[in-house]
Amino acid sequence: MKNIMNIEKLRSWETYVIFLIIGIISPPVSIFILPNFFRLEGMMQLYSALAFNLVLITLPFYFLTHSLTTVFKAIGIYLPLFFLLFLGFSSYTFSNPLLTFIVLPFFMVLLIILSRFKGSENVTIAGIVSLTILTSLLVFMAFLGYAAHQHYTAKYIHASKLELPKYYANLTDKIDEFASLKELNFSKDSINVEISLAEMAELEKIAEKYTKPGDAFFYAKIDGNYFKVWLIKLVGVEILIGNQMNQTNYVVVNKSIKCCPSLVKLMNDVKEFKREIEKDGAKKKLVRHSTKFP
Amino acid sequence: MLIDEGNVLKFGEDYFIVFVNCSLRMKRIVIPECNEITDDELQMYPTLKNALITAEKKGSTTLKAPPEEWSKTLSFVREKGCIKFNGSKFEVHFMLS
Repeated sequence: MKNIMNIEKLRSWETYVIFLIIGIISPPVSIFILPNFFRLEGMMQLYSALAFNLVLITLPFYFLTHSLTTVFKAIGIYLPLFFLLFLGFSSYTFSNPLLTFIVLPFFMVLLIILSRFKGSENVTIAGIVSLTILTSLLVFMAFLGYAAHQHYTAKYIHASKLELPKYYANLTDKIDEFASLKELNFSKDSINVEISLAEMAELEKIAEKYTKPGDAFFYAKIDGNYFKVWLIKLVGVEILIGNQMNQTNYVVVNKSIKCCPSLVKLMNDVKEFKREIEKDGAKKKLVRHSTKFP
Repeated sequence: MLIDEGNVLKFGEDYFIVFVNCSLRMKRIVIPECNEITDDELQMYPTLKNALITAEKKGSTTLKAPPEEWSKTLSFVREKGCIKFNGSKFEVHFMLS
């Protein structure tokens, strides 16, 4: 008698609507909420939607029938369908679109239709479970399709006006003050030249005045030509070992020094290299490392 | 100043000597010869036209374009190269997400 009542409750339209809603809400939860707590990417989002779906469907199954047997039957039907979907999508087993998009959905639709006409409890549960899985799959695919459409339509045109810089450092008269620069041929399109520390300090003063916030370069005019100019400073450290360590004139650098994180990283890297070399038994006296400095 | 050539730094139990290398990189700004295009020619490429008008005022701009127009404009700009419009010269790039 109780069994018949359960079947009647499960076969009502309201029950189908509840499971349809569960099927609809699971993918958005998996796509928008769960990634805040777990690392979910690609098909893992579908699997997590189906896992979340499984947790949710146990509740109405229990509260509608008050029967744990029905809940376990639902789980028992859900898991093989879930597994078949996993097989269809998984590249580790056999990614088979025929199984995922034709055979399995057709089978689930068949179960849903049968559940409306057959009086069997098992077929009814199978139909309801199929309905919620199929709904989740369709909703997930809809999100996937929307994302693909967004990606396809995300095409941009970037236009920039070609003009000579309005704000620049005029170095035409100053260039002779720089020994490394005065002999250069400024009609070349690209120039790379090593300069002294003193020259760098002078150029840094100019750069400070003419560099826009956020830029790593400034504009300069030399002999009627305009240039984009980058100042590059490489700072390196060499670890001292053996007798070299008998230094009297040195600056103590605190590990928590705030001014120069790159310098601290550099020294830590060199220490690490030194440890590795010592471990490997290599007989190298010096360990050098350098980095580009901001 | 910590970062000066030849400085010796004591960091933990280790001593380090600092060496510095400075260089200057310069790239000459060359404005190429451009192909002039008219308002009529741009009628088929509304997003490109808007981009050129906005870039004229702001210096540069990026606008989203419908895929069909984007492809059509790409072929047009590839054919034209650098564009001259309303007396100003423009460089046009195409971006995907």
